[in-house]
Amino acid sequence: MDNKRIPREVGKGVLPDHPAIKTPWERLISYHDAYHYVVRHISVIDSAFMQALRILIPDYVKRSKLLCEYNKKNLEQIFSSPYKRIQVENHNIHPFMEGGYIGAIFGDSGDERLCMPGRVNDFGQFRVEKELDACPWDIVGSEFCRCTTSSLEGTGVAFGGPSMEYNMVEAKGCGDLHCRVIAENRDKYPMPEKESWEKFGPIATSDQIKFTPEDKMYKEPQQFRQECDFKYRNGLNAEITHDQLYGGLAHPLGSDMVLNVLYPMIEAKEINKEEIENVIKCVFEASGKMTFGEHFAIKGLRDWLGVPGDVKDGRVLGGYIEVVLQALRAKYDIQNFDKEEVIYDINLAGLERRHPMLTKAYLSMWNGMGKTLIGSQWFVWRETEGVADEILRLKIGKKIDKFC
Amino acid sequence: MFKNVYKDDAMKRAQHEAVRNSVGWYHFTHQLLEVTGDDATAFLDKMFPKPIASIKIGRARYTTMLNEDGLIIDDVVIFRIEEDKYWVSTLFVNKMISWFNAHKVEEVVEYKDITSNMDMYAVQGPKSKELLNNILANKIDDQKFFSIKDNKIDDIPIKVSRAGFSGEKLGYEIYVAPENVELVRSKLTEYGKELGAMQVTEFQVMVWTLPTEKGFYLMCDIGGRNPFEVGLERGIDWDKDFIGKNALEKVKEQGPKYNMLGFIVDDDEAMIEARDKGGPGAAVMVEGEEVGRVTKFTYGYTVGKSIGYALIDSTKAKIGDKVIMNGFTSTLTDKSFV
Repeated sequence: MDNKRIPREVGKGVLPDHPAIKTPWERLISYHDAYHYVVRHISVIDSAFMQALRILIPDYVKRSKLLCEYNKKNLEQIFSSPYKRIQVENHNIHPFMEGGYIGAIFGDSGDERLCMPGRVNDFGQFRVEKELDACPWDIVGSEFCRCTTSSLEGTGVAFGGPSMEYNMVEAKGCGDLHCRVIAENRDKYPMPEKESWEKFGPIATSDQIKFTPEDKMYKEPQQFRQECDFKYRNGLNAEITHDQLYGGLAHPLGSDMVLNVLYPMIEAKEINKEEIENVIKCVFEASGKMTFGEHFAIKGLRDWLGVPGDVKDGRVLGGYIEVVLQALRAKYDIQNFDKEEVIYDINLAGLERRHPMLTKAYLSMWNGMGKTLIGSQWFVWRETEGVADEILRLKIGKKIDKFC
Repeated sequence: MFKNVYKDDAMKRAQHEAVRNSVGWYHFTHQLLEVTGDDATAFLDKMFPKPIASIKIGRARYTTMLNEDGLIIDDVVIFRIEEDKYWVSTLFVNKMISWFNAHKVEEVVEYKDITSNMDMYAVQGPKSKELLNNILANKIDDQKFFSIKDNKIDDIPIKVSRAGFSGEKLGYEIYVAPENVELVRSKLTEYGKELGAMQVTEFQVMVWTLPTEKGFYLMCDIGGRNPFEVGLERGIDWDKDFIGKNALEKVKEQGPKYNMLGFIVDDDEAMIEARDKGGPGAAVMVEGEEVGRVTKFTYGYTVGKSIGYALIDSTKAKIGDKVIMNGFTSTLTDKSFV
């Protein structure tokens, strides 16, 4: 095959355009597949961040407690800011509504956005029950189930009124058929007090649980179902379109929940930044190597991207990275794309989304991937000389590094 | 099976029954858009299908708001406060402002969201008049349904509207500046005791159990449907121009394809997905064929049954028919249950 990449304009307009991601070899990844891909991609990135946290804070209870408390506080702060007004409008929350149960409204739209379809079984000021049929985050870890539950509680706190204690009494990531979040007001449903991280129950109203059998479970969220007119709609008649939902995926939800724990620890000098970065580098580089450690994984990627048989260099990894960037809607320019080297100028803000550690994680992961996907002579690194701060110049090429 | 989250809930039952049998009161602030200007009446007559010019000062009217396709995009109560001053009570004020902006041409009309100036307390039930007469400066014995009048609690000016979302013949709404809310609450609490009044604190009671028994709608029921399908065509002023009129005239000629009906579920422990909690609502099935969707599912404490609404293909099922929803047998009914 010619070493040159076929320019994008070649063929444009001849065939119908599609809402899709396009690989360097013009293979289309549909909107549907891209959406599901990016949701799962976010989940695996979150999983790796969680592994880093497990190394940095080995004690399960301490880790869970910090995740729950920091993220609850974080959401409470976010929903106490002007952001609240925007989200109240977006979700049609009525002026007479107040109370912790409002947290569940945001949980519901967030679930559907993240391809966690399900149903609200009960919604009131004193009890809420949400049942999820799928959860792409089911691989992240049980601490994460606790943490996300706690963050709903924090959101609810920002709305005053009767408080709610949220529990995830079933969790797909722990082996249950569903995830089931139940919030209860403790004045109406008294229970012994629990510690902040104890988010799997027990609850007072387990006799009110409504269980959906497997044959009636949803596989797709509302935005992918014809019966929903391909958009999300909540009980307050707020509609969120598929493009608005996809836009919300750009938020590094999950990774930031881990980082929300680490930032204050750095500030309090309980841990140093370099140590965190080292752990993240190790975890993500190993994750990258593992991704293509199996030959069938390489074959699978090449098929997915439509890589020509004779292309066995940095372009293969470049093609993968382009798919990730397009799925995340991070803008990039191709500076070079041939068998010797691949260079991208990536909009840094679009990749790291306010968390520079995310960029470090990606660089480490992609470097690790290159080792098993194309070969140990290949490296992925960032070049900074003569490059504007807002650009991540990413280079995939061969070099010798005696300290790698 | 599933334990009914309403039937055995003593708190919800007590709040519901207080409204039905004595009086219940609750914070029920809606959004208010104040519309003023020389052309306010003409503008609102264009924006809404029911007549606005004929609303007398101090009276109110319920109406839908339609898009150009004749589909409902909001349902509101419009109060005529002065000759050229209206309050539009809605729960979607910013969308309404955008819609008004898109259709305002050369009319001399202004509109502003005054929600933050006015809290609203609903006082509903057969003893609501008695309770309010005990706390208001001016008796409300002669106040008519869908009227709004100035009144006072102590020296604090308020407005009292005779209206509500509970379906009770006697029901009032107190409009009060937010800084005076505590006065209203304390008076209602104090004077309500001897009448057996109860504060309704549960969203499910104020929004679902009470209104559903009486056939009242939420936007999740009627949004995106035309008024004929949901029985809201009565009172439309066909002699004037309004947005959606052309499309609606065609529906009028051809008849609606769907009807909004009520339903009663035989099994008290049934669980049925409905649009009132988001999503599309459960399919309504007859002999294996989908004939509609459930828009609302709740419990009627006065009816003593699980009840709801469903939008039904008018050619495929009718009142009295047995249908299947989420595996549970239901009987289609009128949507006013008591």
